[in-house]
Amino acid sequence: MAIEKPPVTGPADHGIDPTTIASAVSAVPGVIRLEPRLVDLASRLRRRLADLLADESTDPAQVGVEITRSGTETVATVVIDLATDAGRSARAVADEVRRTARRVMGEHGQPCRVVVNVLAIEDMAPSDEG
Amino acid sequence: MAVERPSEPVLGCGRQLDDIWDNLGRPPDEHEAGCPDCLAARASLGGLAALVEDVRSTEAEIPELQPTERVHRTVLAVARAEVRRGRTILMPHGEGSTEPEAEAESDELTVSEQAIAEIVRRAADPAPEFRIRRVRVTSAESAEAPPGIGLRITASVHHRHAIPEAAGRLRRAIATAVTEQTGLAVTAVDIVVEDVHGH
Repeated sequence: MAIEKPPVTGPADHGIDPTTIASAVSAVPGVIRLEPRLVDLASRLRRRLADLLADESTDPAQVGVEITRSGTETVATVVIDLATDAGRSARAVADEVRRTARRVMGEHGQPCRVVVNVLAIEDMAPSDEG
Repeated sequence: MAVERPSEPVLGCGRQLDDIWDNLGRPPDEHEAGCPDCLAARASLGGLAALVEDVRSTEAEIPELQPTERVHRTVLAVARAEVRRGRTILMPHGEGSTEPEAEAESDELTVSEQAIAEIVRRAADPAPEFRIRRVRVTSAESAEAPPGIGLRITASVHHRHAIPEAAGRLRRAIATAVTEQTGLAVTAVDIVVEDVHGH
């Protein structure tokens, strides 16, 4: 089914740093990397333009996760974009990422809906294999 | 014949994303003008190019603000991801979950059309008869129908192979790979042989 992207409602006051989820899901076997978004780059440029230009930034785990919530809703939406290892089931990896994100959000007491998008399927570099 | 896959991202039509980027300052060529993959990629990259140009013109006079090679790589990574984002297909949830059903049902797992095209290319790679050119997801399930997709593939076939038999093998290999990777049933694999190759 072709689907519409979930609506982006703007940064939520959820108190959870997306990098916390990014770090957790990056460790899931079969995740090659999180896929950055234009909004990630723009946000980082705003925050740390000097650092970025000085080549002192960009941990890949800091991109590819978006947490949003509209002002009236209690449930946050977590959107995770990633590339997965061709040697594993993309669905299984995505499902494990979904569970991991839900667990982390749960640890912060935040109800959530999780959307995991597999954008690319590639060979994992030998150094990345566990 | 097994073909070597390029290391750079490839669109569903077979063109490399970097080629689209390189041609962005010029009018679309004959292929791009009629190709939905290329047109979508040009549209996505066009927005990024405008942003880059704006920043470049604003900061061009300040030497210490000139971007490093790493910044260039970051921007390209974003550009590639934006293109991959295009069309996405819902994947069914895994079985055997012990989670509360309502929670799992509100979540979504999707796979991009670009990723499905990559699965198809990999499934066809060991087949000596075909060279895959374009891959398109032609249909997806409705709310009423079971999860499943159709695929339309254009390819070149080796002149020594009988097309019907080779196509049957290719269909099975592709359907198996897509289902294993995504959980999606493949309801149809239409193969359009548009060329013959001899080596």
